[in-house]
Amino acid sequence: MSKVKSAVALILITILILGVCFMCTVSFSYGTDQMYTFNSVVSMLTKDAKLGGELADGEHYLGGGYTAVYYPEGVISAQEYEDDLNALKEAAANAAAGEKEDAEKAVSDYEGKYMRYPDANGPIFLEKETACGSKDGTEISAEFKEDFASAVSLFRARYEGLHLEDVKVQIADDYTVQIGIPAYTGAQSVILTQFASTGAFNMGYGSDAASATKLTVAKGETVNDYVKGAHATFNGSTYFVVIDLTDFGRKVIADWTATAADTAVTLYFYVGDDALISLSVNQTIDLNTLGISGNYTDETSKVVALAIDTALNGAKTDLAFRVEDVVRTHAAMTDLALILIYVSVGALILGMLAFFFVRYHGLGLAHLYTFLIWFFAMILIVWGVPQLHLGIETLLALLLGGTLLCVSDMLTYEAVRKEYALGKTMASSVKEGYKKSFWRLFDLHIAVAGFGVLLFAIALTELQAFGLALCIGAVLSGLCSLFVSRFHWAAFMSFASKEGKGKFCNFKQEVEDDD
Amino acid sequence: MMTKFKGNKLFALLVAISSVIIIAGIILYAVLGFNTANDKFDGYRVDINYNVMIELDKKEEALAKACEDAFSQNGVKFSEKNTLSSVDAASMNESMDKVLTYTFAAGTKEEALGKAVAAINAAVGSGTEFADAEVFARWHALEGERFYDPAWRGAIAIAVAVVVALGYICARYGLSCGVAGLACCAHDALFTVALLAITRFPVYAFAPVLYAAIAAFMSVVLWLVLASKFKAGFKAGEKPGAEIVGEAVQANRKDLLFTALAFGIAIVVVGAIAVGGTALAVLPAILAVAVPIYSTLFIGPEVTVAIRTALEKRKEKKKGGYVGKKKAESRE
Repeated sequence: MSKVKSAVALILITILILGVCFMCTVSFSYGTDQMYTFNSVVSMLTKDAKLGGELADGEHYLGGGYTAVYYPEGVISAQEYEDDLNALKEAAANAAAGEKEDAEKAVSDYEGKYMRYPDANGPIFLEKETACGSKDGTEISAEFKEDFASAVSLFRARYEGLHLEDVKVQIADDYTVQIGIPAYTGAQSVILTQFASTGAFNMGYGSDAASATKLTVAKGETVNDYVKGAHATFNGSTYFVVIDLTDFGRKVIADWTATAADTAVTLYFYVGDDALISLSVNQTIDLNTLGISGNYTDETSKVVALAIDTALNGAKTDLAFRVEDVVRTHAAMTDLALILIYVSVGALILGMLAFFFVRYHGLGLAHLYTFLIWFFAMILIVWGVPQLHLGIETLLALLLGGTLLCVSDMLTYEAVRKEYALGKTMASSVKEGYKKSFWRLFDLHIAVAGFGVLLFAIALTELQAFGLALCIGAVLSGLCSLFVSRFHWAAFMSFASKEGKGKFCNFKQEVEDDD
Repeated sequence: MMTKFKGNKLFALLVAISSVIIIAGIILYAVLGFNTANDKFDGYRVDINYNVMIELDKKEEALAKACEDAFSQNGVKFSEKNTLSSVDAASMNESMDKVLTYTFAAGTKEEALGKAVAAINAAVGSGTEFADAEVFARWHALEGERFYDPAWRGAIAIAVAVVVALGYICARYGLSCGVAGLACCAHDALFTVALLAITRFPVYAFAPVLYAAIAAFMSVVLWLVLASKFKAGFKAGEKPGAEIVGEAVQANRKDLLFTALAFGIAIVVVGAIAVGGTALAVLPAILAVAVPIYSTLFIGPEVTVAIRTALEKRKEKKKGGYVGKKKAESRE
């Protein structure tokens, strides 16, 4: 490669690397009163619930998650109890003389209606009639306990079925359920509300959800004799909730929609009292599978399908739940963790450069350029691929992929060093060194990429993301070490004199003694 | 220089030690599971809800002090403190109301926590400087539900990925290399998670299967670095398998150690600088790097030689077996 061509190529590559480096790492505000903000790619990477950080505008936070509490009917928080009681007491205090007795009775009734759990300083109040089975009960009934346990296993099945990282289901205070979901999912509200729906699955038709005519299940049959299950699917960018009907179910739907061509009908699919799907129909439907699209996204279609499927095939409970105490949580590992991760990656890059420059002198530049191309390409990929976000598993995959590239470059450089030591010319040594290393490195990267892609295809959550990042990292590392690095070597080498090429790479030839 | 692979005299002992550790790890996992304390599945939390007045009056510190005084007076010690924003469940928009949360370990006494919360409510209720802020404290006992899908699907994924990767090695470098690599991968993945189960090192729930995958990955990388050097010798068939393996191990020991060291340094540097939760999640991965170098140097070559020798013997036996009068005469 001529010096001019090398210079032009290296200038272009340097500009590209600097541009991408700026785009990836620098955030700043600009405009009048700093109205606008440019956020770097690194700051905009989606983060899991363990990591998180503020964007440059100081207003938006990426990462962390949300927690919410599912309160079953008959259970209220101590704060709600205090607020209600204080309101009643205030009403009693301000009541007119004739109404005072009733208002004071309302206070005492309210006090008698609930018992604090588990003790006098407990965090929740249980409605005696619901939880104990009678107004004067003091022991929580077995039926309530059983209903609550069924609900917990239903919630667990739903949240586990989401296959999202950092999802948590915790029993709080024995009789409420605390849910934790990551912020990177765009469907937090849908997840929290739809998954709170309990009760049996049912379907109906009519003009509105409340007054719709519901399916009457024949004696000796269950709703499962009409509907087999539900799942989510997609076609291009349209997402569907698919309801799988039995022949009975198909007939029922066909009957309900028989006159739909004349008068439009709306079909409703319920879990408990909540209509999760309403489908407006203007023609007869006579199908075994109903693919229902709407404004579903990938996530919301899965959530609705999962809520219906678990209501059909999961644990049964009639205990109704409401969503309260929703809180935005920041990074579980604290905001500092992300900054320290960036610092540690920077330190690693500096250490790597020190090693390559000390051992290979000018050849370190070829590795530096190769590594930076790989590094920024990986950052852009993590940013652009929806299945990837910044978490510990992605960090580990990036570390392993980056190290794989360094090791590959080092193995090649050492192979060339050996050839050069035999007295060959630099061009011949490079050719021979790469030839000898090619299949070794090819096999290494193919095996690792295959390993990663299978993890991505079969595993779930963190390991799945790790597999994808590792696979992409290995493929890029293979391309970089086998081709890009060699190109950089040739480009940088063209500036060294013929005699100085060995010195440029810190390679030495073995000089045989004439004697 | 001819370097015959002398075999490791302690091979049987090493295999026995590995087997004991793996079996002990499996038993401990079955009985106790992993120590998933990092996830804080179980424990206690105190939430202090308040409205925007605290922020407007700049009383955050005073409120925190009142809470922390109540905790210390009742002998309870929190491990984490956060200020969070309340969110509207329908819109998911953050409101001006905040929640000050304190996290407590699983062994904390409920009675003491209840008393501390009662003391906080007394200190911040009506008639105090916080009266306008609607401050209310509650304590919560939390008990986590575990998800098992990611663990078993992950185990299957690693098994399939390892078999396919090693199938590739089989196709490229021969049966003995493939089987020995498979033995190393299986050993490394199981050994790594067994060590985590035995030491009870605190890990995140998702992590053991991730460390197993890293161990399998490292095993594949190191084994490929070594096995690629067997290929030419095995193909030429001029030397016995033991000699080829011996030469390759000696010539590549430096490459193997350097490769493992590079991966190890990357993990240690991140673990050492990014302290706290990140270190707890990243540092155990060092096991997943250390175990494969042990198996690649001490177990893999021994298994390769054993299989290669068996294959060579079988080949010899075939050569020496009855081949018919005509063929025998032509050989002579």
